[in-house]
Amino acid sequence: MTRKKINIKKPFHLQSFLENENFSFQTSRRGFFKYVGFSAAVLALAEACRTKTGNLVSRKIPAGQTPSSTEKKWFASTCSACHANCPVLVKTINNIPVKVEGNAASNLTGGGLCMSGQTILEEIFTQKIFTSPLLNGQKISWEEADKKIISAFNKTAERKGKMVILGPTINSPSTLQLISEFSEKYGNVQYIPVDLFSSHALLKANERCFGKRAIPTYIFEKAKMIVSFGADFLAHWISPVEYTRRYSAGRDIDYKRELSYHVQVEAVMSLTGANADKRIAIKPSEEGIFLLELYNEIAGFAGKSKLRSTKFSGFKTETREIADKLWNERGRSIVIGNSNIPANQMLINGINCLLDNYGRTIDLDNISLQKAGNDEAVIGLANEIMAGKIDAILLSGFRHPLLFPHDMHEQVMKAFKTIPLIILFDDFDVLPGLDDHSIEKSENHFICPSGHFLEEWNDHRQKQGHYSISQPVVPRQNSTRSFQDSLLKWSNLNGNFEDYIRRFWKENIFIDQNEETGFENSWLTLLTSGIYEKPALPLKKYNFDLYLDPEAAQAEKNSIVTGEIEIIIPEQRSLRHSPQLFNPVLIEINDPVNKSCWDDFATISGKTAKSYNLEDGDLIELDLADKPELPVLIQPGQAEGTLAIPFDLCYNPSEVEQLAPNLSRSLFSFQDNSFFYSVSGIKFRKLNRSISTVQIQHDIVDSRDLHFRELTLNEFLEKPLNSDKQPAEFFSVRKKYNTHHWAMVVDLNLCTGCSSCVAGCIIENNIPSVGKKQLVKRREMHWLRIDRYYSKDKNNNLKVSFLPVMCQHCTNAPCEAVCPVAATSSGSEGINQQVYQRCIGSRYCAANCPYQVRKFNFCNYFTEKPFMNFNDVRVNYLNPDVSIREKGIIEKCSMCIQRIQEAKNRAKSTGTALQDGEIKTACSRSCPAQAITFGDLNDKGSRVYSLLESKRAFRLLESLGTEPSVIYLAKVRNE
Amino acid sequence: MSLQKNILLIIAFSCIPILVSAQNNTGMSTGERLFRDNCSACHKIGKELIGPDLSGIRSRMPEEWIIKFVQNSQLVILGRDPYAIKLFNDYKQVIMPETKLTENEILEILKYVTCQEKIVPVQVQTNVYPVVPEGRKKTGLLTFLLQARIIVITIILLIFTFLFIFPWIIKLLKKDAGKISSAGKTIYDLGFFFKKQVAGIFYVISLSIIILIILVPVSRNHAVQTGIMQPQPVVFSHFTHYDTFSTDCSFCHPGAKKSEFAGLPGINNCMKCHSFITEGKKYGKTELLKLTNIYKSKKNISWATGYRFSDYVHFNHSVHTVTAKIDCTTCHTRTDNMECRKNSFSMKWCIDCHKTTAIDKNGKYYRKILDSVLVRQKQTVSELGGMDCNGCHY
Repeated sequence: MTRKKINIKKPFHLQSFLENENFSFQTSRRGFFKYVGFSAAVLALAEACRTKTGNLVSRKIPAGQTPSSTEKKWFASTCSACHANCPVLVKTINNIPVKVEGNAASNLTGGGLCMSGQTILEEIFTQKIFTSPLLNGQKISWEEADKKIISAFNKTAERKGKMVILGPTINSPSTLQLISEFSEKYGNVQYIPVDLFSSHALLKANERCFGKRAIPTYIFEKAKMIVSFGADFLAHWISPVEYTRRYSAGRDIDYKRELSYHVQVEAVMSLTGANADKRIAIKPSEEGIFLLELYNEIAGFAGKSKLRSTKFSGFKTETREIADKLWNERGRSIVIGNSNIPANQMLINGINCLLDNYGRTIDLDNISLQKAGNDEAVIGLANEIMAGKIDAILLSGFRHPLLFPHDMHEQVMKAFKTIPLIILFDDFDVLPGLDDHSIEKSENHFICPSGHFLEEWNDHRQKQGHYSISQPVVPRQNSTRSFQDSLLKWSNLNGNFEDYIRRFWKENIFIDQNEETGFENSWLTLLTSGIYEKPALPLKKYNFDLYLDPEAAQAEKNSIVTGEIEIIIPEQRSLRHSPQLFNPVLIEINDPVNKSCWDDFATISGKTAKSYNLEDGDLIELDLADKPELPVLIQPGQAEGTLAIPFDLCYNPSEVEQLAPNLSRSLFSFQDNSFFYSVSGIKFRKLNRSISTVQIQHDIVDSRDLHFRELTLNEFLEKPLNSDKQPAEFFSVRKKYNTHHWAMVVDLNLCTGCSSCVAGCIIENNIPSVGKKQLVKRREMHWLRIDRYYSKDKNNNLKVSFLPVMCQHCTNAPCEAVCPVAATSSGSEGINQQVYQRCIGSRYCAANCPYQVRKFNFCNYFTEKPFMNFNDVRVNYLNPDVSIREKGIIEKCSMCIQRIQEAKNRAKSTGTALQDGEIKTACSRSCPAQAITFGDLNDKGSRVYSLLESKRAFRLLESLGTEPSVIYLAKVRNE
Repeated sequence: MSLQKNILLIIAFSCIPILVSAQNNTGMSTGERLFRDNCSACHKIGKELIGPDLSGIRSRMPEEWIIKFVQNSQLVILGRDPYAIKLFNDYKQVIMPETKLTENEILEILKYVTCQEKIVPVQVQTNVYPVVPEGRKKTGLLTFLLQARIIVITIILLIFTFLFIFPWIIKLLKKDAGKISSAGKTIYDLGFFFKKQVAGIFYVISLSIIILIILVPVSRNHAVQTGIMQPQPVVFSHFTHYDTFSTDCSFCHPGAKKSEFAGLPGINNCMKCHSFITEGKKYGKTELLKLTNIYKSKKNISWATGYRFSDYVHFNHSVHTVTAKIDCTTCHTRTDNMECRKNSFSMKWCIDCHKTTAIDKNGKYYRKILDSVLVRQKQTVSELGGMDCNGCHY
């Protein structure tokens, strides 16, 4: 085959063509139009042919289903993500849950919900390990399991053997009654509550002082002075949502004209510490002596006898200052602590007693039932297990690994396997605390999986007089049965647990309604509202007169400051609380204080890190038997010489690789009849490896003063920020909105930075999780971020500021001017609207946005493979009201336009006027502190408008003239 | 005497239209609503349907009997009432399903029926509207071509470019390379080049304009194409249900008046009537047998939806049907098969309507916001946020 040679006589050289001196790009006007015309024609053709035919899939209608409508239904239930049990509402569309929100009718939470609660739907659809009952690792039917278990129980009862029900605190009155009925049937049954972070010492101290083993209600809104010893009550301690609401109510400066003074004495920078007016960093070992000194100072003021003390802490001036302030505010102050050392809690009770706080700010009548963990009973159980005295053990509802202190753990677990009957009620984990799978295969080990709490009936009594119901919202995903239903079956009682709860409520709670119809009505009201609240009991004064010297001696004995590194397990959430449970939504929301996400870090103070030559992300190796390796992060504000290791620390959670599974266990011990969450004397060394740290934070140097505004209390009272600015000045001069002018007011004084709004926004607006690799490239998709700034006050103390930043919905938006396709524009109602289908992804707007709130979709996060690891569960409960954004387009906060439209349509259809507060965006709805207010500025009676009259109002980067619709109220510090 | 009688009669007869019009003024009466929701599927006034003609019902049987029969017909039949048994046998032994209507509600219906009797019933004229055969017949070669259009156009363009434009340019470059024009310039000057070839350029542009004129309108309507029909698991005739038997739309699409999505009837909804109507007008027994089989297998029908918007378009039915009081047939053509799209549902179509439609200012919602707006005679939807992008796209 011959190839024809192509002869080009004169080859075309582009180089010479362009370099020709006579060459020019000039062309005639007509010629120009010709080019433009032709290219436009071709472009138009190509564009016109781009669409595809076929059935356009809409997520509103699930495939293969024929729903009669897409009405939204709200079901009242109760969150059981932690011990706090906040009442919630679950939004469902076509029986698919799409959003969990706090129950606004509740006086406990006021409608807020924490970030764990917001993301709880992820757990329902996660693939579970146990989907049906198992015996020795073999699947069996429920009937068979029941038969075998009942016969085993009967045998145990004949022998009068001891049975134990071990699990987290149960505050359900019906369940407690059921357990007592169960124990009546089988004789020797004991129920032992155990909490992950035990409040045993607090319970015990109250029992000794007042004869009540109870946790009081702390009335933060009444307190003018709050001193907290390590209690992170805004994030984790006992009832964080409720306490955030109460705490913020005490800091509502416009309403009260005064501010509570908050002192936090702690080792690790907690969220509560970040919000404190004064923060003192101490080592855990110094706490006892600190308390003793404080007690003695106040006793001096009160004219009471001082306790014997031999040592001195290095905080003489601080204790004197605090004592002075506390004494001035006696009867209006609160002293709390999360210490699990009974002696310390006794001293705290003593201080509160001297200050006459019981019956004023500390309520021992309307007690909390959220934590009842009994450490002594757990240790007693461990000893009994080792002695072989336990004949059956029922482990219920563990969301955390079961813990026995490290010195006895191995022996206990060895003996554990010899218990004749073990029943586990859990669906996603192997027997917690047991790492080897041999126990699964051992004889008489039943697994009777209970489902997710949103699949089951339950009731709760969080506090004295506060009840709530938990009803199934989702159809059962697996062949599971609730713990209570199993107990009912085994106690030979009729009916299911729903009937049991009804019966219980009829006989015990709704007792005043004897008639059948009366009960039916109350029951229906309970199911629709979800809560039942009795009027609070009147506050009684409590006092005790105890000889506290032994406690003082004990506190002193505990305070042996050795100078060694002290390791603490702070009460904070781990990325996942079980190896199998992987919640990418929660993992990607960063830690409120250190802003790290996707990894847990052991935090260390700057100076200590320097002495070990450590930097962010460096790995260290602890000097323990299994040589665990952990990454460290330098945390400003942490006490020198401490290392804080989050409970069940893990990193690289997406690859299932758990580091140091026994780590947390080996760090905590049993001392003074309670669990002890810190240890000293463990050495560590630096490894020459490190992991990358990801912190979602637009932290530009010196940008704090540019964005964040704050005042001291005196400044506020004398000359507020905008003392001459009228509300009308916050309206745009250039554009008048005729119908509505949607606006948002963020009160930085109320905001605690808890990140609950971020979680609410993510779930509501279908924001994907992108994974660590993308985050390293700063490709996070969160529409709402909380910027955290560190700064120094005049006394050189660390100051932390939180600033939630979402799209500011500018009237003169810089983004609009640069969009080549007009994909972003101002609507007629004050909202800067982004049309996804119009966007071509030029990213000019993102570059031109001074607030950096526009996010670009670099990938199809919901459909592309590497991201499906994080989003495959999310796909099951996406919000059908918000479209999924494709690759290559910009997205941003829409002020929850879907909620606005829904409310407007409802008002139009029913012929009613739109009320102020009827529309709440996802962030304002979820905020426990009610720091975010949304409303119509054109409505002069709206709450948003009235907040403009606050003299603290300002807008971000106001000098740019963007005229945002988001208005901030400056923070006021009580210095 | 006869004069008085005449006057009375005149007054009485003139009352009827007043009564009727009064009924119309107040919107739908309770009786009419109840009749429409509960009876209209099987009964008509002045015409036999599945059940007997209801006109003159009061003259046939006493009220108490009617109430008893309506509440539970089977009880009356079991009680060996001769008239009830006769009715049952006359109408193919179709069981009239028991209703939960109260006595008062039934009396309201009867009042409505007697009221309607006096108006001359409008005969539904069948075959006025052309009946388009149902099924997948519309999807033929044309549809395929429309769908394959992108490929066709690209190929045509590529062929055109490679066959004509490229060789032509190369030829010109080759021919004139190096030559110097009379003005002393090399002819590489692009402006000059095109001036010489005005005719050719004109040809190119006019061709592309022709292509634009012919193809763009066709392909623009592409996403919102009309005339496409989805094959259904059970062939269903809107004509039979709506035009012939005047079943209310919300009987099968209950969401249309209360939610965003109009809703599709579930199998139970179908079986309300089709448990006893087993033979259809058009397709006989075959299609209804399919329906019964689905019901027996305890599955639901997975209807293919003819009108399904994209993810990013949020259309709310209830606000259009309830607030704006727009009849279903305004958007969904009623002349033939509703599952066959007649309207394009393009954005222009929506906006055109929003621009011209005046809002009803009586609602409290509009009252409140209109205080701040310059009140004019006619306020259109688009003036009150009906043109915001975020109104539909989010």
